[in-house]
Amino acid sequence: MKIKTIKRITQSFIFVLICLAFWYLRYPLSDWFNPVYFFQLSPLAAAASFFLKPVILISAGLIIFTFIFGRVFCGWICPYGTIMDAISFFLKFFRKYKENYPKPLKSKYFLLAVLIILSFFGFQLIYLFEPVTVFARAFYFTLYSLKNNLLTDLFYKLMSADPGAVVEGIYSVFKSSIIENRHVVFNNSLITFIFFALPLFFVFFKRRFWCRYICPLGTCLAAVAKFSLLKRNSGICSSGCSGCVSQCRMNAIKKDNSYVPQECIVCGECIDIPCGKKSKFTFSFPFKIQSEKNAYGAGVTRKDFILWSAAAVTLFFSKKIFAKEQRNVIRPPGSLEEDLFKQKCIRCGNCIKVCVTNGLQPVLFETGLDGVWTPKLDANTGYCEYECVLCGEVCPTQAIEKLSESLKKETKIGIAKIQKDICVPWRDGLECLVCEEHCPVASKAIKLQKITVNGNEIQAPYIEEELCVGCSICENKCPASNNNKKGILIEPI
Amino acid sequence: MIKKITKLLSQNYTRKSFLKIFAAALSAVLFSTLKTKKIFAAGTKKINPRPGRKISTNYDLVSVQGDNIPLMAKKLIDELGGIQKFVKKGDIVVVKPNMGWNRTPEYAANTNPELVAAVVKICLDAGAKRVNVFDNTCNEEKMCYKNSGVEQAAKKAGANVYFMDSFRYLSGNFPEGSSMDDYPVYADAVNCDCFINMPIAKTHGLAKLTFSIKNLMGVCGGNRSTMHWNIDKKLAEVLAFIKPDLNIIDGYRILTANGPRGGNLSDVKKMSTFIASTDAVLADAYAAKHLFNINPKDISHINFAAEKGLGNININSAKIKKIKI
Repeated sequence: MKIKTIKRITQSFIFVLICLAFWYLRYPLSDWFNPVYFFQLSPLAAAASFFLKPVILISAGLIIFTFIFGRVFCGWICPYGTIMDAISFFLKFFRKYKENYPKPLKSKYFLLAVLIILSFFGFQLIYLFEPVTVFARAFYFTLYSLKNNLLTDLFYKLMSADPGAVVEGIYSVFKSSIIENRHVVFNNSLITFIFFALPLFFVFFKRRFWCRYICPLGTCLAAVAKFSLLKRNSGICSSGCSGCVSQCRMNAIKKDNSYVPQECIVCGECIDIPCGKKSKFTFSFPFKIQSEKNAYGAGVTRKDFILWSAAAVTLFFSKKIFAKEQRNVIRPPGSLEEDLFKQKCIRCGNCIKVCVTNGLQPVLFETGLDGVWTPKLDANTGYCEYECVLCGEVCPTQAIEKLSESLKKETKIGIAKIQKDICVPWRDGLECLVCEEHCPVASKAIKLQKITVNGNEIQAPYIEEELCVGCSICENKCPASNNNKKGILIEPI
Repeated sequence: MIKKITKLLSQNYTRKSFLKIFAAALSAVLFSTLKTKKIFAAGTKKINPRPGRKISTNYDLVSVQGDNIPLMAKKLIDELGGIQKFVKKGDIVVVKPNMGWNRTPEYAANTNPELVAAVVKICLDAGAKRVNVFDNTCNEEKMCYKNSGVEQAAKKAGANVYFMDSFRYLSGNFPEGSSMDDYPVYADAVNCDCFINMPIAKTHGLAKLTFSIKNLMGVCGGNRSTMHWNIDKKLAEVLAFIKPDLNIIDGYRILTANGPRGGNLSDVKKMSTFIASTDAVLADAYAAKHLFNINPKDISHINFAAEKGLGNININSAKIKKIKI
């Protein structure tokens, strides 16, 4: 069997596994089939969590693996790379890809360096470009919710028309496994999808465009892969037919048939090219090949350095303008302090996907430029379930701490304020008390007092601020609303 | 069309062609995610009120006290005249417990799972074709079904426990000028041969005490928060619409404060009592009097339902049997 066939099968299999793991990230959680570990693979996640124990161990595994086998992660595992390979596979029927001679590829080093310099100053932007999270966000916020809502609507229509036993059978199987029993809505899902799809668009021009020019995770691994043990043995060929040069999707093979190990993603397709003299991947000691030392892409000139620094400094000052120090949204329970939270959060969207009430939503610029895609609790779409601690359990970097159930019940994330100009008992003198009914605190943070409105003596709610945890169920269920403002409002603390 | 696309894709790329494809792709994405008008508007079908069965029982109300829950449930129904009066062979039965809150059974926020399981078993033994168990929950439904313990217990007893589907809520044929027009009713609760209503006795901020009548809110959909405005009238209309054949009030553990959600074990009081009646108003009145020692006429929704002629609020005039096991 050809290597590329094996690779395609492996890639598809791993891709399906990843999608299933993302899909089944929901209540009740599976112990082992959990995408959290997948996010912890990334060395960037390890850096973000300040070398937290499970994360650093798992990502160290990836680094050792890369040191032995090269960038197999990029070529065979990464879901974003798989999508790009799939697109270029179908485009092959229409067009032939032909690579030019290698040109210096500095952009990704440039990007990573700037991002790292910024993150030292506490301005975390790396995860906007981390490929696994880019894919996860698009999957969670757009593809998953779109699929779920379309299927729900389809079955809504089908089942309303009494379709018979077959459709009902299919529905009863789908109901608990494939579709949620409700619509799932995420804010800014279109923007998330465009961010994900835009680099895919460039596959028209270069296969693996993202991996060659942008990917910060790939760049991290490239630094290790430069010394990897598995190397392409190209000693035999001297024909200069350039067959493999023009076919390498990473532009890792130079015209003289030598190659650049840090660019190679070990896809193995150069072995398949019928040139007569087959190249081979073999284990060999890295320091044998001295000629690759100053391969393209590694040379940093003084001009580059000044450029990088200037960009980093500019962006750093832009933080002063765009970032917000004060917490102005409701974060999930167990979230670290605002600055630390934004540093540690890798924007994978796990907490947002797992939230049982659809209450957690990705923010865009509300919390500043460095808070893009961090989670917030939105009372318009859901609330924080009192006994639920799922978001802390699925956070790969523990930006949301794992809380025990008893501790979570005492964790304050906001505080409720009654809007007396909207609240029905206070304004109209009509008894309502939906908020009091739903308040999950054992001794009720919403209490009742007798007031007289328009001559009627009625019960009206007031807040016991010491007891209120800010779970937002009162705002979510409040029946009184005026221009999307509810009769009770949760303020972040 | 396909030829055009093929041509577009296979040509050599210039900046112009790149921009063309880019614009096409972007507009395709934008178009596909445009919020189109909701074509799946609520169905125009309407359902008629449930006819209900005319059942004459040995007593108007039976209350039983004890510790063996399955035995108590059996005794309760036997004293009323046996399950054959309620469930015929091949019937589709609905058992509607209260499992609206994400609380475990000892907090007395949801109906006792053992009682639900016992009743399900009695119905199946009597020859019921299927026993459906469901509730429109207030908290997240998966957590409520699981943590209340009802899902597991009822499934084990052989019931068909499922989450409620949005498309099965249909607007009901309520009388002219009804306040219930905005709140559709769950079709399965109406299209059944026998409806067994199984509430738990709790306090409630607005309704004061809640039993059988308030439990019927769990078969209603729509924005149930606004249902709390003028709740007395709405509850009476739902009661007349559903006409439960049998009401079994779970007074094994009752919630005496901070209802309906509870959370303090100190608010829970063990009364070890079950109350059964075909008359929801009578059952509620009796439970208010004997479990909480409150005059049922002080509870406005029970009083209102009695005034509408939906049941007997006068306990003294009813034929009541009390048993101790």
